[in-house]
Amino acid sequence: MGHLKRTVPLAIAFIFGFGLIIQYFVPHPVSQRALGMTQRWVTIVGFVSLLLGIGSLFQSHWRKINAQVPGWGYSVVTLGVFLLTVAAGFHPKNDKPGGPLLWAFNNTYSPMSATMFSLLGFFIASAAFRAFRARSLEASLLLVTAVIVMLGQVPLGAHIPGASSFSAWILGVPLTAAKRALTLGIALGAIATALRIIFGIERSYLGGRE
Amino acid sequence: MTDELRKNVTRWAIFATVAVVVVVSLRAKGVSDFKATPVVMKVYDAIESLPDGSPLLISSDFDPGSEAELEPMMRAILVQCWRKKLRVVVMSICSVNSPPLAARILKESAAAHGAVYGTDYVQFGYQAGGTAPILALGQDWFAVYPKDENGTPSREIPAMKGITKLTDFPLCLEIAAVTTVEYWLLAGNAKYGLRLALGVTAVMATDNYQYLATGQVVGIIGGIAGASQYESLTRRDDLKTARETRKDGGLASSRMPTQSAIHVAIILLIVIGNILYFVGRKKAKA
Repeated sequence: MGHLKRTVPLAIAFIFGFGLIIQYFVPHPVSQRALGMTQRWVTIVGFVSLLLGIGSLFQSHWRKINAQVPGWGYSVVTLGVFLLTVAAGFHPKNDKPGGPLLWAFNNTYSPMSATMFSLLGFFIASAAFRAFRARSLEASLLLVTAVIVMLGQVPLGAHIPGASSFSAWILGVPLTAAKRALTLGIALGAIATALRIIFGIERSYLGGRE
Repeated sequence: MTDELRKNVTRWAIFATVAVVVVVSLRAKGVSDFKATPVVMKVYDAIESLPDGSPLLISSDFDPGSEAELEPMMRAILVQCWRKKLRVVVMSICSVNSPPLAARILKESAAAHGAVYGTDYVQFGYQAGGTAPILALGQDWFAVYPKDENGTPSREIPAMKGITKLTDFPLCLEIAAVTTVEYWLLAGNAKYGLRLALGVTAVMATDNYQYLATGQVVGIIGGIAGASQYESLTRRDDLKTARETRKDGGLASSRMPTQSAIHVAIILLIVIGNILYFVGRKKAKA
């Protein structure tokens, strides 16, 4: 069992990780076919993980309903709506115009999702009021920059001399420089982590102890 | 007044201010006139430089949460595509929620401009797997998408004429609200040299400026402001009608005054917050 739980996953990670790095630099048709095959596997694994997610959703909410923990009614709604959506998927019209799935999407999911997102406007206003305080030199710089960039993004900025061009400069020069440094740092970190996984040094993805 | 009560009153006052500003500015029914910035112009020029009848790939990677920002953007771009008789090919790698939105936008825009499904545009469904479908499309389009959203074999669709793989598209426009931009950069641009243009939400625009300087993306349309700028290039007649009839018309430029008003309100709130902070600090010192 120990082999199945540890050695086999480590071997799979090594073979596919190392193999696909080599594949990237080999344009031979055999190499390209191998890439195509593994890509199809990734898609299939992606959909299988969706099934695992559904199983986990059911397990988690069923446990809450069974134990009648506070708020278990929401779990009933979640599972009920989930089952209704699945049932709608079996309808002959399915996701075609006039079908139940598209109706549910347009009339429930779409407006609810947009509503949740629009609440962000209220929270951002409240957070800006509390957080943007000129407590130090750094905070003051952040505050002034944020205001200038914000003005540069709206038509009003065009009427304030220099606001638009200064906003464009902030986005094009200091922001780009900082973002590029961050991106390169993250990329180097990702490469190091990937190598640690491929060579079996990093094993936390197997779960449990090192 | 206790601290807790004061905090609650302040929070509700801010929420009420935002609500009033939104409602009043929406009732005013203004239509902004925004000149396109060079970054937005680059996307317009990239599409404009394509020969008439060329294929254009659009990856529609947004869901209803960001519909308000990205739907007008997609509509503004489609108007240019229809005018140039481009063959628009739409796909999604973001989520299963993207294709129904894109389908509605495509259908309405095509109907308004006389574009025909199958000849002028075609839609393919959602593909899971992040970079995997992009890499696979770079090898064989039809292996990934043997059929379109309606179940028609992809090889039989006139809009797909001459397309066998990703690099047959002279340009790909990624309209996104999530990290799929990075998938297109890594797999589409870095691996296959696909030309990329971006249409993203305002918060994402700043993340992607770094790819402009490196030439990995040709241009960026950012948020409702970017969409409004694009409308000034492609939907001048619609803007004129909206101004004359004082109707929203689903235009980003009709939503821009509300965003501008909110931005000004937030700036004022920041100023008030700082005045209160300094007054409080002065009192505490005294």
